Amino acid sequence: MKLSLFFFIAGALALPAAAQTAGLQPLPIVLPKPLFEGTPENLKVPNLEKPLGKPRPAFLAPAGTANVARGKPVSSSDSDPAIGDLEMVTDGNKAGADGSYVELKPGVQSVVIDLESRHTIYAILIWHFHKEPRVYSDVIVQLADDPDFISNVRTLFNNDFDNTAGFGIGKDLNYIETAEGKLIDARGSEARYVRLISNGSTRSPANHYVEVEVFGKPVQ
Amino acid sequence: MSKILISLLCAFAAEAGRPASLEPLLEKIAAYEYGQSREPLVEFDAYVRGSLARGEKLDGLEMRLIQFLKARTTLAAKDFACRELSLIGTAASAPALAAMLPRAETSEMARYALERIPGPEAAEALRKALPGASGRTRVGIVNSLGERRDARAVPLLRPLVISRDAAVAEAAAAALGKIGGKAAAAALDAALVRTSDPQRTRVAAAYIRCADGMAAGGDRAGALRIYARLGIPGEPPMIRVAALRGLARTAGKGAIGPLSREIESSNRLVQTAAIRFLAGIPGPEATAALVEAVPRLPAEGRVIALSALVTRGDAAGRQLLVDALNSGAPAVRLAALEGLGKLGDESSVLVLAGAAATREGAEQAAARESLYALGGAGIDPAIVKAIGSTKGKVRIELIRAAGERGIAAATDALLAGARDPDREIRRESVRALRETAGVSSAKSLLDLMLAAEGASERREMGRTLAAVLKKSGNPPIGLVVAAYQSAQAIPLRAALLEVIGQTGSGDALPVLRSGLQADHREISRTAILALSDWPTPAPMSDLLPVARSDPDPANQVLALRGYLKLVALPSGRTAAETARLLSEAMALAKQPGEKKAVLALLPGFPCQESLQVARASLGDATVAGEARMAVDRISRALSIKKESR
Repeated sequence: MKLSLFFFIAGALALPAAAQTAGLQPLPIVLPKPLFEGTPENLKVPNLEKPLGKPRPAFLAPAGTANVARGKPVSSSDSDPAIGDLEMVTDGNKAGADGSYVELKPGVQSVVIDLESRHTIYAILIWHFHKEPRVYSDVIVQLADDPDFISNVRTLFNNDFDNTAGFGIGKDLNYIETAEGKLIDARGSEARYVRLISNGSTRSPANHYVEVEVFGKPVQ
Repeated sequence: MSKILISLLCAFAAEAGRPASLEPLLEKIAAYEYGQSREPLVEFDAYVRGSLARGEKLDGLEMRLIQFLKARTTLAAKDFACRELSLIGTAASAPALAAMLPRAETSEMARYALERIPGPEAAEALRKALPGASGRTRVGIVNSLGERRDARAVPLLRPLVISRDAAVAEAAAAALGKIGGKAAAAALDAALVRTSDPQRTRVAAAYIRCADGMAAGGDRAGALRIYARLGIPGEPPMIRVAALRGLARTAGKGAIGPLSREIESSNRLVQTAAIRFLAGIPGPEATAALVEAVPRLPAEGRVIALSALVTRGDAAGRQLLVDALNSGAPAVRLAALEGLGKLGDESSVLVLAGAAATREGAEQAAARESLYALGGAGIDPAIVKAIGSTKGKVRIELIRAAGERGIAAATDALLAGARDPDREIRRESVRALRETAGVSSAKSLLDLMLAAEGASERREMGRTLAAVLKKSGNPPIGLVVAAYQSAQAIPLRAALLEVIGQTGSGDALPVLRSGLQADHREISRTAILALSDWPTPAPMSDLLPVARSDPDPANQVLALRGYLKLVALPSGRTAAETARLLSEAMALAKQPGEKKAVLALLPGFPCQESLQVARASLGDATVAGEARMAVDRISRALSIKKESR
């Protein structure tokens, strides 16, 4: 926790003066304690993002941007998870230990977070599972105006390079899960619903979510 | 040389007895050098072992091997001969082998045989060679005398224990430890005061080994004297640990006193060992000693002692675990919480529920796990009783425990909890009922669902009702169907229809089909989603018309997605038949999203028909990339199929 605070403060201090004057501020991200150290060398995954090797730079968003997903309802293609409950996706517990994640069935599965009203979304931060280094397949993040993702669907991230999941080919890179989570730039899109898709990991065909944070503001 | 050849040779020897002549074989062996083919060696060895197995006398062969040792043969050949003599040698071999002992290059091979040949002559040869030997040869002979457990060597070894040659002194101490007996013990005892470390520690280790041998041989008193001599403070910790182990094994209850004293040792190694050895002594006296010692221990020692008490399974340690829950040391509290899961009884139910409600992190997780794991006939009734008499977070923990343990007798208490004014108690009760309630509770659960406040609670209750109904082989959904048909509020009707779908009951299909025709979109949407999640492809023919011509475009999309989910389920169709179904779906897909979904499924059914469907989309700019990917994957699969044919 102290380390996270250090990164947060260090990121804020490193802000260019122009950004601060434009009303942009670092996202108020609080990282969980890392549960493993170092970079794994035995993950043979194509299109794998090279670990940064240092803390992620601060992500700037308009002042007042906060996690608007906390405590919001979550539905899933797997309504009866094998481990945990769907509400764990937005319960604020991102420790990553047993009892803090939900496990969905193997194969292509999704969760949908209902923000309960339209929001301007600047970033989405995802922790699938960070107790050990692993890579989740076919990670796709979408926004929509309806719970069925029929109208105004926008894809923010997609690393399904061969359309295995059936949501189209994506050009984003695979990445290793860490306590830093995966931060996705939502570019100020407006939406009520956030859908996250995955298709198992290098460790197991099941799908997991420790926490998802959606940083945004309600649309006035 | 393969094992097969060896077996063949053994079989040959067994069938044909001795070969016509061993001389050609011995001639080859005489010239053998390390690294060359071992074929003649294996053949000879197979003959020897075959003869031994048949109980044949091999005096002549022994004489021939003795000559072999004396002849001008290679060192590798002599080494082989010594190994064979270790199998068949007698007193007759001792002189020839003894002659090889002084020479460094033949000493080890000779000792190999002399260590194993039975009878006093071999040992005597080793003893005679010892005074004249030096360096590594001397160390080797000492080792061999130890291996032979040669008690007559003790007078020779005794002075060597304090030799200035450290290797000889170390070997002599180890040999005396192996030989054992009173004389060896006396020699080691005397050496203890005449040596300094590191040799003194080696002597002490050998002395312990000697004591272990004495204890195994019935001289318990002699062994205990040695353990007592070496188990005291001032001796190296590893020696004390070894002595305490011997004491615990040999003295049994008699070791409780000394071990109890050592539990308070300032040395962690000794303290840990004392706790473990004490825990290994059966009977209530050892438990009492542990219980008595625990409060005086530092945190680390308490953790080990509490774990030891739990392992013993003696209820006498239970109160100690409860007391330890208030320790200032987190590790002690955690050990106590974990231990109560195994050692706890009815009185532990509220203790653990309280801890689960008030502690955090690992302690909370341990309290919950222990509450779920408590054994005994009285536990479930105690939990049910406590649900009715507690409040707030403690009650919530008990409700969760009832669910985790699947306590059917808790169902009434949980149904009451599902009507509680506290939202969290209602939610946890409803979830626990999924595990505890039977089909007989379906009416009560339906009533709760009908009275539920808000969509979220109604959904939770609906999941519980469906889970309970599914416990029956043929879920009795009549009650729910009647409620669905008579309900007026659309959200409630939709929730009930969702329950009907979740049961997967055959009786549910007609109800869901009729839902497709409903005027209200929430009902038709629920019906489409329920049919989309159906466990078999049966509703495909219901969804396709909706996808084709439902007046609501959103329903068309949902129905098409559902149809694709069902097409992907295992079925008896051929790949070509499935490709035709997917082609039909492609024709109905108006949005790129659904086209991409079809293209993702096609490679799972590789055939020319699938290839055609994928190729047809190559010209569609919105899905050209996905079409190309599908064509590639299908083509690859088809070429693999062709190659394998």
